[in-house]
Amino acid sequence: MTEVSDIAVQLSNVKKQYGEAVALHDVSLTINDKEFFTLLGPSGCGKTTLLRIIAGFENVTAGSVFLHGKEIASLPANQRPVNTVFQQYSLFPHMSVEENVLFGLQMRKVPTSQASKRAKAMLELVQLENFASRLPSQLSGGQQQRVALARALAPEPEVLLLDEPLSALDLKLRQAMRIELKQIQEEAGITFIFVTHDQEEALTMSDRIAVMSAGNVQQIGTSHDIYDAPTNRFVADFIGESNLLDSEVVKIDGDRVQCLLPGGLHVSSTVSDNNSSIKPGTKGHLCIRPERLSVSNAADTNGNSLTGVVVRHIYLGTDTQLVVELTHGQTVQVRTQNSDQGLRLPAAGETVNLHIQSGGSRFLSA
Amino acid sequence: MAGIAPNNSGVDGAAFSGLKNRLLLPSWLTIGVLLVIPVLLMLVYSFLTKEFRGGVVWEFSIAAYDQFFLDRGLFGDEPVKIEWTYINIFIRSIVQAGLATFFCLLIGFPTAYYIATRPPSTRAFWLFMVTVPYWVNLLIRTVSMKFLIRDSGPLNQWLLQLGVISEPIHLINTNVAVQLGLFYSYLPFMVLPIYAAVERFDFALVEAAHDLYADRMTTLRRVLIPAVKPGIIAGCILVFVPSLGAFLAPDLLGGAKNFMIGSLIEEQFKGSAGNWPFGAAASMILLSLVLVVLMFYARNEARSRS
Amino acid sequence: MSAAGERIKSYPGFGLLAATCLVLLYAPLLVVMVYSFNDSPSITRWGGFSLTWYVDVFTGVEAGKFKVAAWNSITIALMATVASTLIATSAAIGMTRSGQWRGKSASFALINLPIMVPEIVTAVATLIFFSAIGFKTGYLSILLAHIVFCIPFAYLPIAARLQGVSSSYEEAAIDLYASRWQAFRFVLLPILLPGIISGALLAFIVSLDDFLITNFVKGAGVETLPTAIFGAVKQGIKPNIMAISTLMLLVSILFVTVSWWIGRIGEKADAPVSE
Repeated sequence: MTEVSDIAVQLSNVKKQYGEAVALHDVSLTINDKEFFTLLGPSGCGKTTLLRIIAGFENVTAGSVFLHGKEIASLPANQRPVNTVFQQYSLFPHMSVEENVLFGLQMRKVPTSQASKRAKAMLELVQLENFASRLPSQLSGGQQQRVALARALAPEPEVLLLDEPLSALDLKLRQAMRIELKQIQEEAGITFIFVTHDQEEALTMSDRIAVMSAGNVQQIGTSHDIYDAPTNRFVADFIGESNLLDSEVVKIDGDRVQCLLPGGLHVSSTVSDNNSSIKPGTKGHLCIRPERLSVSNAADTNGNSLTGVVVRHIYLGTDTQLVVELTHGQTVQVRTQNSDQGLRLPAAGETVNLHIQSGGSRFLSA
Repeated sequence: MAGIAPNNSGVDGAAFSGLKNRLLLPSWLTIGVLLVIPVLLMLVYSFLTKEFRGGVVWEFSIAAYDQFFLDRGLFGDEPVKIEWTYINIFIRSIVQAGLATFFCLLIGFPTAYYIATRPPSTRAFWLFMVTVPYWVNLLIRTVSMKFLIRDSGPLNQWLLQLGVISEPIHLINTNVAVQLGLFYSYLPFMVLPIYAAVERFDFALVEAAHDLYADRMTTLRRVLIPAVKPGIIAGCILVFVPSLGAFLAPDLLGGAKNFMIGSLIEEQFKGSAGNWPFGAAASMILLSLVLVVLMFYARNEARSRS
Repeated sequence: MSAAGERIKSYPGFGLLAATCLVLLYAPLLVVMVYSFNDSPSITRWGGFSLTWYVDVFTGVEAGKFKVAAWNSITIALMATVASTLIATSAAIGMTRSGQWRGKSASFALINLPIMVPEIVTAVATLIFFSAIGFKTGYLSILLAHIVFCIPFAYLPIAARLQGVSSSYEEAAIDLYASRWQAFRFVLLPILLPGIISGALLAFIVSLDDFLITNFVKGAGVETLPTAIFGAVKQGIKPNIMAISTLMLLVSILFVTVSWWIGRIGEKADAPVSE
């Protein structure tokens, strides 16, 4: 168990309502110190609201927020030792880069010499020491983003909040910034709470991710947990691509279950650990990632395979995607790497067997 | 503990939303005390008895409205008829304001369109040129117009010299002069909102219309005008409303025979008539007319937005 | 844009009408401007170029009257501008930074009431108000009336600018430990400044321009430039009036130019960020 001092932010039973509309239902979260924690979800899921609650821009309707063990729900935003990197950066347009970075230090009444030393260090951290006297409008999007980062880091916040900071950048820059952000976080040694709707961003940078939808936290875990062991249908569907097949539990077999598919097929599958309510007869979905299905022309004997007709064969450069219609009518996607030179992939119209790789399927109760 | 009543912490929303009432209070107070209360007081005054040298006696009376609408003869003993004098002044005002709006639209729309379709460099020049008169003192502009169109003024002199006319056109102190004055006063009010609407218009729609075999006029009628209609309506309101209550143009260019509402009201307070309740009643009637126009506008706005 | 694209956009005759529009707007002003330099005391005949009437404005028999009137106009306009701009700035922040609430559109209507109510009605109502409460009409009553009708003129450009400024600037300032006052003073105010200046310029010119309301609430003996000019014009247009008009015209043009220039600077500062 982690000790209190290792916990940076704790939210317990946080609710947020705007009139009748509920933005957050009942959110409880613990974010560890020096952790890169990501709030991931589609727009309108409440992730930004949650961030704004931590920042102090929104009140909670009910519940409490703790920062390093101290309740801060009643602390105004300008007294919270947390800083935010805004989605549109919100760099003060009339101040130079250096003045922007100095702003928080001046407001905290840090002595001038110390403040300018700190600002210089921050600009070096983001490699913009030569741009100190420029105005934000004279910088590129990527540079502005770094200034925003330096500005928020300068007052040495206990937690840094980042609200979709990469969404305004183009793809190449976004990819480079992911790595850089992670490096800066490790170097600065502070907790980052990162909000994004981009799962790739979340998976590459985060120590842990909270997947949110409709004002609820759906799952919290490492990138690995979230991708490989989704605990519910939403997470399975939202993160990466998934084939979700209607199925029903027939038999419980230790930590595995036997599932029945509509076509009469039986498949053995793993199941999420906290689903103790699953018993024979439970209906749900069998989740199989497209890359966990492999094509074999010969009939499989060990039972964990599906049969169907290739409907579409799509060449995607590194991968080939097959759309296969199963015998009972549902379609599944199959992804195969193209590096395997010897393998001939079936064309549309051919009948194929799809082998489910071991550990490649997961039963999710409805 | 914090879970019980965290709403009192005053950190909600953007930086200034918590200060909403304090920020708005000065404007509410100023306008409330110095405009809303005065207008209500004016309503009260319109139901009081007049005092002869201006001012009122605090006695309830509907004499002002009675005088406005009904003719009871010189000694008040004749059969009651409708009094047309004041109603006619109102009708004349509405017609004049309507005509001014029509003429402003006739010139203002093509001008606004022309400016909005200029390349950015010359557009700024045109816009500047149209904006300047808007900022010039209305009194000075009206006086200038009076100077220009006098019987012996520069306009008549030139026309005589050029041989276009053989004797001066008599414009001053006619309804035509008032119309010219109103048109001239409020023309920029028509151009600017229409310009703003045309400037936002997506001209790809014109190309699409032409692509679908519409000709120029059809495109104008079916595509452009519907799209810039809010600007046209705003322009019409901005010309019609001040024209209706105008004082300077009818007073300086129209003379005593071409009274409009503004002069009628002014007469009751500043002039010889000195009938405050009657002036207040006429003002209330004018205000009601304007409110009807504005409500029509607001309803139209709401409908076009939904 | 292609030539064909230009062609389908243009309508024959619109250019001519636009030119006519400018001629109509400027002809009377230019004529008065030209005749203000007329040497002849007759306003009808041209007697050659001279600055006689400008000298007359400052030294002639009516010079004293116009000087006092001009001083009243300018001091009232300055004070009304300061007061109305402060009130309008505060109101604009209150309106644009408060989300949706019941009564918001009523509040908007109230703030803009002075431009919706016909001027003559405002004039009558204000006169009745001052008379009813026994407030002596004069300089102060003019000033109070001017503050009221200047508010919406100052409000509209400020609110327009505020709507274009994301509230995340203030949030960023607050997030960086600024108090609300500091967030306003160091962040919002500098960003808003172009809007505030154009609002103030508009309020100033509108106050300087006003005849009707001033005429109602001025009381005996107190004149502003427009009421003094109106009084003089009632006795017939004399050349010195044309000189004064020309001077006021130049002041107006100066104001438009300044506000235009400030607007341009504001636009440049807002220019979209280059990627």
